[in-house]
Amino acid sequence: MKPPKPLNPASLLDASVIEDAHPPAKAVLLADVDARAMALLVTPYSGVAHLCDAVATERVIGVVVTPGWAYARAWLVQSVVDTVGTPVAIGAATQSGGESGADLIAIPSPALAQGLALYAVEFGLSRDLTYAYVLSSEVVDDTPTAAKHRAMQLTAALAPYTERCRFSGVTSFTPIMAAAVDDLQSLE
Amino acid sequence: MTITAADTPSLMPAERFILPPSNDLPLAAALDNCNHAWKWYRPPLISVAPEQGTAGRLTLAIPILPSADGLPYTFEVRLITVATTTVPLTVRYCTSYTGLSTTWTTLYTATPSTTAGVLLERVDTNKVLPADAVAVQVDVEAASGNLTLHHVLAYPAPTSAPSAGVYDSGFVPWDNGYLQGEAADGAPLHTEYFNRVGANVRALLTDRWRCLASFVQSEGNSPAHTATGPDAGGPTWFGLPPAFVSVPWASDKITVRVLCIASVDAGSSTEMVRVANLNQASVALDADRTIQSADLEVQLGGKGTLRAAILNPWVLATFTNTTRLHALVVLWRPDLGV
Repeated sequence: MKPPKPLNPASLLDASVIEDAHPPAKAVLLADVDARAMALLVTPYSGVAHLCDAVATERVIGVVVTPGWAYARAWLVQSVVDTVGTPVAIGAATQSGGESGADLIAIPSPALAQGLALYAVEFGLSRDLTYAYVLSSEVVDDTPTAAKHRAMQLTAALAPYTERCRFSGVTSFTPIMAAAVDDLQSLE
Repeated sequence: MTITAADTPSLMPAERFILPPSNDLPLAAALDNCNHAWKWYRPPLISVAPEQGTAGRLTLAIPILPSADGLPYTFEVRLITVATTTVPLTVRYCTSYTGLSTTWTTLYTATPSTTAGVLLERVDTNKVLPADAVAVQVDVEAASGNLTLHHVLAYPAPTSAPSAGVYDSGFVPWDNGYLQGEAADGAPLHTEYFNRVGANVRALLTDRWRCLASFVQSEGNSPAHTATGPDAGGPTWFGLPPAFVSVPWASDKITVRVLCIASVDAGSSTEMVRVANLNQASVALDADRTIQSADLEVQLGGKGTLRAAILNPWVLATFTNTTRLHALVVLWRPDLGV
């Protein structure tokens, strides 16, 4: 059993494992160095906020998936132009989870009206944009019968890889790692 | 005696640390895992979904802070063309950015073929970015019709095991002959071996900047989005969408580096781009067509994977003048501000 144990990267900045001149041969030292190297590998790098117009055009990006991670979520932002109009649906998909039909991820719009613009200036000085946020679902359902709001599937692996992800209906999206496997040895 | 970097880490179950009390096997595994990490620790340096509207050609300039070790990077470009055509792709870097007169060095060129309306995923490996590179230029042009450049991704990806010696990042590779094999059989577990793991982990963390946020559009004078000031009422700030930057498991407060390239068509160029941590600190950068840089202290909320902050970018436009934000990226490494 080898559960992934992410750590605060700042806690790994102290490079000294042994500071005594003649330390006793402790098993805890071995566990410490193992934990440091493994934490470096499995702690998610970051969630990149992509600011772009993914309303008019669906955006397809590559996300570097950290070892051991099986599901992703996303912070999503809609830029609301006006108080009238129909809310724009938010869509997402991953290559691992499927990119069409029932495999699509349908995320309820957090906005009461239409999300459309990127820059406020594009709609005139008197119409400031407001922003609506949503964090996509953590609920796991790998066999949906229809497009629904659920966690984004990844392919857990022992080495990082690039996952193709799709987003639509938003002006800012940040995919993040959400859930890891229980045991890294299951990936060997 | 060899230095190896396996494609997957060695997984030491907990019981291997206990019997015998201090054994060379888990220590060697941890050191091997550092070699593995040197090759496979891949935080994205560039992750950009460009703004362009619709165009046949797009040229982006993206500020970067590459590894001190002059590492090979993998570049992934995702795009869709309207027509079935070819897409000449050129990626360049520079060591001094001077706007449109910048002298670029070609990193690689490619001419992939596309099918109309079908996503092209182009992956190019082993592209070495020198340590003193300050920006990457991505130039794509559809030979026929328009294209949508969906994403540009770049991350460190050495293609071989590290070489012997001390790297500029501080990383020191591990030679398995020191502890294992006939010549080293029964060798002592030196204190340095333990500390080398800690030092190598630190070296990798502090050498490889990771992207937290990006907004990038054309380097030229007509990007898709610009901000033009009013003819009355004084300078006006225009907001971009908020950026949720996610830094899993990080401390309550971190310091990030904000880099931007912006320009104005006339008027003042001083402090025209501002990035603020929601209701907290902010930095202001000039729009003078150079790479501007400032460190911003950011307060994070949430826990674990949901550790995040909201950054609000703003662009200032003065009296009837236009401000263009060509590139805004936020990068981080954990020792910044410590």
